Amino acid sequence: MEKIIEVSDISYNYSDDHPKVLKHVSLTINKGEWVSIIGHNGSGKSTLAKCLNGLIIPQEGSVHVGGFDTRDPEHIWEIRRLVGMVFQNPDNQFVGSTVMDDVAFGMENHGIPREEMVRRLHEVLRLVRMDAFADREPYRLSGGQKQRVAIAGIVALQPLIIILDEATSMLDPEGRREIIQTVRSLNKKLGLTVLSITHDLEEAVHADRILVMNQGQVVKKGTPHEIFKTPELLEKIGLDLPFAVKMNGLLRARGIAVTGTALTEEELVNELWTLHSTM
Amino acid sequence: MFNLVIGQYVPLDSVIHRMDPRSKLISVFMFVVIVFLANNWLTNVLLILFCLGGILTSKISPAFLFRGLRSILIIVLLTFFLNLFFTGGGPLLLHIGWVRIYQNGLIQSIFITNRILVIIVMTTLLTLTTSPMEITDGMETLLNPLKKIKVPVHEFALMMAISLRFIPTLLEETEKIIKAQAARGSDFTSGSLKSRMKAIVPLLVPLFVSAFKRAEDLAMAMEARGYHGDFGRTRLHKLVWKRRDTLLLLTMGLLTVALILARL
Amino acid sequence: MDITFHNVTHVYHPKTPFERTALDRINLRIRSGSFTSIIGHTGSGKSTLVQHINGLLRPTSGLITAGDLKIQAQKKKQDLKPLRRKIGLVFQYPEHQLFEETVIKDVCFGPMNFGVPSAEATKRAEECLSLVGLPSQFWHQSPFDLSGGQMRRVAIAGVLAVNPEVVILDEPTAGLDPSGRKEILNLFKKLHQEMNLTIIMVTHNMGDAATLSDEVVVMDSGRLVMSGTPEQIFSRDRELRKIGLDVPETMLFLDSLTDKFDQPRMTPVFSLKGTADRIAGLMNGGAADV
Repeated sequence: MEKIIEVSDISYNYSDDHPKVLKHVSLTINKGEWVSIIGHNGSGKSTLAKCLNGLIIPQEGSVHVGGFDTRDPEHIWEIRRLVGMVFQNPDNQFVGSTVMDDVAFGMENHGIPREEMVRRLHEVLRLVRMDAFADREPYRLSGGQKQRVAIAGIVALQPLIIILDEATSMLDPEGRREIIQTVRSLNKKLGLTVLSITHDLEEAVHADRILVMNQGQVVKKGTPHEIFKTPELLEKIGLDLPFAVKMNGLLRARGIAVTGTALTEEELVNELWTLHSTM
Repeated sequence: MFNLVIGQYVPLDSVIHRMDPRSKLISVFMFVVIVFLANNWLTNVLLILFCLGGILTSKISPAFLFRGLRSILIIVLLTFFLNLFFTGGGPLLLHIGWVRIYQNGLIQSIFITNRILVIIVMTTLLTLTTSPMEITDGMETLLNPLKKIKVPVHEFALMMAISLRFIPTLLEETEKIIKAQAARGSDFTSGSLKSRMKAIVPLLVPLFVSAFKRAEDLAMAMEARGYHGDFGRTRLHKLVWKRRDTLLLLTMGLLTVALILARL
Repeated sequence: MDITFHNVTHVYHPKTPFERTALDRINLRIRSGSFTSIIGHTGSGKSTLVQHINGLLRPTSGLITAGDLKIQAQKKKQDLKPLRRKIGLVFQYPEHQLFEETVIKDVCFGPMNFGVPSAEATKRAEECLSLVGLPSQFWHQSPFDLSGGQMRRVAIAGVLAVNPEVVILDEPTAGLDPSGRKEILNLFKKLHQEMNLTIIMVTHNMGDAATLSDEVVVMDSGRLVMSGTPEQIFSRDRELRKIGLDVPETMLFLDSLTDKFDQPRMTPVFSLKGTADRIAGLMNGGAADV
């Protein structure tokens, strides 16, 4: 597996009289995987994300992206191209006055020649299914459409990884589905690495790996199965559980011998079916 | 609630829409200057005809355009009456109390009002037919020579583009905050001047807080997307000067000559 | 007080190229003391609908009554304060309306606009801040120093301090994390049950609509397409899907389970415990409905 991001023992506080928002965090992200970070508001998730593209340089420790150190000002723009970031508020990251202009904004900044820019523009708008809206102004788009435009603008820069920083939290269910489907297909088709900071556990159970953050630390990491095997820890730090996991507990209390490994509704249905057939 | 036509772009397909923003900008600028050549009936009628021609070619519904202009009617009327009351000369037409209206005053105020109206119509026509992005691109290119004397042309153009981009967002936000405070019993429309001024605070503070938050978010998003000034930047939009643009400038030249001749 | 809509239509930007009918001949009755949820996807007219109830928007045609107060299309100015005193509205992201120097002053803003004397307003503000669960150490701080969830609670207290009989909530949990969501929803459940407040909630969350409300109204493209109890509404899942809406996840799960077991669909159930009971019944006896 090819490591594309390596975070070693970073700590950060916004100023000296504030408590540390990140405490000795280390992690690696491999090419092509989907990693979800969960944790409640104020657990340091977003600060961590901003360390990955050099928007924040931690006071201690180091972050390497595709071999470049974020402390090295010479490579900072290359790092920002490699690490694309979709923020929470769809309105506050839409720079261009039309869809097309906004997708082009990043490419213009990175000095992509015009012919190449036009070629990529059409390609990425098709990928996020916004090609019919190229001339639309932002105020005539839904939140989900604006976020898809933001994703297109990032994909056009051919990055190593895309970070979703609670990118679906201000959207309606339809918009949320659109975004997750779009990113999932980019992850599968183009092998784009995804780091998703989210409160949506139904999304997190589909990740390859989950990191749980609490009070500036990564308190647990592993596959979704490993994470939800001990739901007590998550409940203790005030996090919600996926529907299937909650159901596992309730079913056991009713004398149904589920194994507790089912994380999605589909898995639970199958498990119950098998259990029923062997009863 | 905000029935503003000025500054709003209406995407249609007309010759004027397809013209290069530079030719449109130069023409409107020229127009604003040559309007002051109009000093008699003939020249004023010429200006009106030119405006009507512009509106017709733009395919913008005249009814829509003029309805939008209602919001600035007060300024136009004010100019008209100020000139009417305070310009003397010629025979006295009307005398009621302190109001004296002279023939020259009446003619002057009609001319001046007409000038203001045609200027407003033409500039509105520019923004209705040219997207904000095109306007800023055009401005930036036209002002490019000033970069040599260290004028931050690119930064100004970007600031303008972003302001234009956020106008609808902020209007929507203002409307929302007005409603939220109205739901809490705030009254913006009645009471003494003092109480109305006080009612503005619950509107302005949240609006500023939100605008600053947006600015902060936007700055971060722009940085994350690699914005680092004009240096090494390429452009998606390439302005193309076509024959119709040259024709537009020629028409403007003709209008100028016609106005000068008609003045005599 | 009862709220009724008689043939209410609302058109945005009439007679411009941007003309849009947001509400199309709505007829609706909201009973006093009920908890009503309004569902429908973005742009279906939910927010437009509720803004008519306290006169923030006027109908283009039709009539709304709230108790003995009336709102209809008219040019003449009408004093809407008596209406707004009785009907509070918590907007989406209500924390964006905070403006005072201290939390307590901000909560007093509403009552004082309606002529409540300062001392009484402060007393009410303190009560409401305790009610929403904001510890008193924050009361004299600037609202802008609080966390997002705390700011939202201050904004809600600001609406409650007016002592409304009806509270309208426009997506009250948007943007909150799961624990914040739970707290806010429990608060409104409590207000509804203990203080007999009429609550009208606009929501995208089918689970919340199902578990909290006794009446659900479904909107689609400006039209009211269904209304009834959660059980009635969510058993019409085919029609809901047609307009892009879903049923609560408990039902989604039971539906796929009964399909797998080749059993008939079950009647709606919304609580997790109820769902688990149904599953247990199915596993033990095979009979779907117990």
